[in-house]
Amino acid sequence: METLSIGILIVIMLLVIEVMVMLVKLKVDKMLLLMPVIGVTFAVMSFALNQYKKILSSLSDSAQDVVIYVMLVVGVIFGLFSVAVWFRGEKEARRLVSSAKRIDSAVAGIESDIRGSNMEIEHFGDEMSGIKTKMADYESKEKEV
Amino acid sequence: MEKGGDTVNRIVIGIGGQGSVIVNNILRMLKVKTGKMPKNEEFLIIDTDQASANACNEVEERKKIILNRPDTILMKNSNRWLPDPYLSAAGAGCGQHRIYGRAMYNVHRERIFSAIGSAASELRNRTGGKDFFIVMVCAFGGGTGSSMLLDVAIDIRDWISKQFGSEPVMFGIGILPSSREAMLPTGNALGALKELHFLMSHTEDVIIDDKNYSNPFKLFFLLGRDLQGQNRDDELERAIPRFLLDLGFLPGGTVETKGKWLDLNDLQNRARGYENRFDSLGYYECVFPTEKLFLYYDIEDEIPVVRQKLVEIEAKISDIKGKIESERGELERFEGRIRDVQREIDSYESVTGMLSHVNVAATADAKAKLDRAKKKLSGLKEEVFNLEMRASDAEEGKRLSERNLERIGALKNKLLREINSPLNTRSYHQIELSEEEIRGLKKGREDLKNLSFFEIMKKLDREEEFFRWTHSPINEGDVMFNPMVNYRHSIEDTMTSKYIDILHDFGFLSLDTQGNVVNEEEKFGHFIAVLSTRADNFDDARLGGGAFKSMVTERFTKDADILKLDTPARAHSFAIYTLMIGIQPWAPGPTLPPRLRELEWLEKAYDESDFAKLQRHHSLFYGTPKPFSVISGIPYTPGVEEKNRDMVTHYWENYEIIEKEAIWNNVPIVLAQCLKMFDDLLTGLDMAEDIKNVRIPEPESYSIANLTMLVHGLENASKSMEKVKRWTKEAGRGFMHLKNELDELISKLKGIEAGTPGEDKAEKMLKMIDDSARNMEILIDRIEDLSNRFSDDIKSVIEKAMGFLGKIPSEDTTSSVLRHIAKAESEISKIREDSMKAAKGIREMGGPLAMMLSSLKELKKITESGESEAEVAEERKGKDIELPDLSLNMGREGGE
Repeated sequence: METLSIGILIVIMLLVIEVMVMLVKLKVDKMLLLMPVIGVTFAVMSFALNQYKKILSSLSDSAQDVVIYVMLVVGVIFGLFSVAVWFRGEKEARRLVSSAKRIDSAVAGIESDIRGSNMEIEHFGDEMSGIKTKMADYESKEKEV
Repeated sequence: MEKGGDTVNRIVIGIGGQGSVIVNNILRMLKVKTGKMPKNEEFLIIDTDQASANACNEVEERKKIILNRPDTILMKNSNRWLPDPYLSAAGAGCGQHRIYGRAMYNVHRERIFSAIGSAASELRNRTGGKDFFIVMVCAFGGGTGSSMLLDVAIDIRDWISKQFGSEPVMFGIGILPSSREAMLPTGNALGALKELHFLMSHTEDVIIDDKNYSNPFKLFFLLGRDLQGQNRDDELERAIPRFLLDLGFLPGGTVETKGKWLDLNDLQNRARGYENRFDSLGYYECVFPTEKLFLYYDIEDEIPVVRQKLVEIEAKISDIKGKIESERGELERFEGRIRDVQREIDSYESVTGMLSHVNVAATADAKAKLDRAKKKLSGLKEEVFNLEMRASDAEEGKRLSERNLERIGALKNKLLREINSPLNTRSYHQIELSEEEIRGLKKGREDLKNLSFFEIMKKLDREEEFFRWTHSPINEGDVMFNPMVNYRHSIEDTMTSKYIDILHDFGFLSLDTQGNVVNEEEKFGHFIAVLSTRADNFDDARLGGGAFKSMVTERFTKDADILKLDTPARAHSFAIYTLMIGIQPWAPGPTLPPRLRELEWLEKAYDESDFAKLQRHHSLFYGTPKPFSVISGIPYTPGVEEKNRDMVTHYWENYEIIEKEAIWNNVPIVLAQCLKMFDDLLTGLDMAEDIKNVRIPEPESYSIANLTMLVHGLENASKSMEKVKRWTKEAGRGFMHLKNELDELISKLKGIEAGTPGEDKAEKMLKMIDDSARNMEILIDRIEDLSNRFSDDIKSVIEKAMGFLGKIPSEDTTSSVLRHIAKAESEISKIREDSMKAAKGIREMGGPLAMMLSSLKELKKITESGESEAEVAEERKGKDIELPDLSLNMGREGGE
């Protein structure tokens, strides 16, 4: 098998892996998955054309090569574009999650602050009632002495 | 008093408003001291005023005997003798009408009995003891206590004696009204005192209809609300409980002491022979203000700590408030932020198609986080609001604490003032401390607790002051003059020196080494001073107990005891409790004020009431004419209630609080008055006689100088004559008064079987009567002689003067001489006119004097017959009992 075919096969394999990863691992939307699938299709078509050049026999050799390469590039582009789209979506999602997380933790911070203030006020209350008791105690003692 | 294993049952009964308050105070002090009620003590109150009884919150409800006013029909049916105006009472309780109180007692007698009886039975069951000691407290001015006291005492004594076979020991405490109280309560007090004295004077059993009407009290303490002109209600209410508790009359509240001072039997022994007389208490305490000082120090230390704490709290509250503000802003900001993120998530999610990617898990996570934050946020908003409220509350609390702090600051200043310049009274002395001393003592404050009062004062270099306030009252005898009634110990306080000299000359009074009057007759029975403090505060050498005892027994009392009570709890106080047993409240003689000063205003108020109104001041024997008749010997008419009631009222009206035997003590005083009056009369007669000695120049010796001398002489003679004229008038009145006094005394001695004076005394009295009679005879002769020649003497003086004036040469009658002549003539006419009146006055003196002479003879006869009666009585008695002094004297007399 000639070198180009092997190269195309590698590209196909990479694209298939991409599809598999996107499908299984990244669980991307079906519409987005369509793009690498199209890429694979183009690559397969490029491979097929490379193998059966007689289909393109009406074209000159160089034209045949152009067709094959164009098809391969289109397939690769589809594959790469789908990765780019996924990456962009993920990035946005991560940003949103981190915003939500920040808000959540900030609110939790406020909550603990408020709880702390509450406890402090409770403590003042205790202290002040302690003062009050002491004062009442002094006053009653004063009546006794 | 005895302690531990004491099975004597004690019942304290407060009757009426003030009596109940005192019982309530005793209970409060008991609870403070011991925290529990002793098992052999019961406390009861009897009152007719619901509100007043309700205020006694220390007394158990079932121990409150509250007597409701019955309707007028029931009242009349139970008390036929009760006058219609007194069928109901105005105001609270008995409306201060003792007669109404008596009627109330009759209506509620069974209830009172059952309550007191069940308390006594409970005690008997609890302790197993059958001996009872009962203290009854009441005010004499009110309607309830003063009217029911004697009936309750008589009835309870009978009931307990019959029920348990042993007569209870009963002590009474009566509070006399102050001089500023209204007529009604003041008059009531004399009514109650008369009845009490009547009952007390019957020391032997008087059984009538199975009821004993003899004196139920072993001791009856009189206390005054008005002491030395100051209201002492507070002191009284504090002193009575302290007295009963501290000295162990109620052992449940006794302060821990080492040893004992007296037990009930000892005290009864000392009171023996004086059961028919009144008693009084005295209370004096000197304290070092340790507790006040400690409290002051505590407050002084505490104030800056609290102030600092409040400053910190204030800073923190304002910090919290700032935080709250910023948190509220934050929360709002986050609310907006959540909304934004949510919008972003929504828009992120809304993008679909091949060219978009949505991480669903991440968005779900973000959404969950946002939801949680949102929920928290809304909760937090509420919490912030609450926190803000709480912060405001805390701020308010802080302001309150600041005010409390200010109050405590004021308290500190008050304490400082009290320590610096205490309000000391005759019965309470607190040592004054300077600010420097207060500061100095603070350094060693822990030591203060262990040091004795004396050691502290020594540390302050004020030992002498310690002794002055604690030992000197005994050493110098001041404690004697500090009873809780206004009592005049000595005749010296009320009588002028002239009378005292006469009585001294006849041997009725003697003088001690310091020249103080000593009168055996007016000494009261027994004086007991109990000194209560920690042992190391005593200094026997400085106390001079022996000297005190001999001083008081020489001048004021027949016997005295000084008892030291080691009271470890009283490290910083020195208390002196005094008991005066057997005091004589009556006046030492006619026209003299009573020894018990309270009697002055009591009698004044009582005398304001006419016969009809007098009934409201009395209680005893209304409705029970039979015992009254048996005891007093006045016959009664059965069934004629009104007549019998009036008979009782009459009896009380004329009743005098005096011992029959004490009336003999009036004799020397009246005789002293007689002797002094004779002396005065002689002086007056000398002065009258002296008028004739005016210098009149010889008629032939006219000169301006002689004329002027004559005018002056006549002027002086005229003035003297005027005085003699007035004096004869006054002397006549005085003699009549004295004669009335003498007659009254004679009628008293005759009428109330005053017994007989002692032989020695009778001898002195007879000598005094003889002297008086002799003086009187001399006087009568002198008066007769003077009245015969007085007019002639004056006439001769006038004639001489006229002679001189008639011989003035006409050529010398200048205007000045004429003026002198006119003046001399006017004086002569005045002398003539006044001399007639004076001569008449002198003549008229003879009449009362002659009458007095016959009264004196009568008095002599009574005294002599008393003397012979005494001899007979002694001879009679001599066969049975040997009475030391008299029997010996009588034997010698008999031999003669």
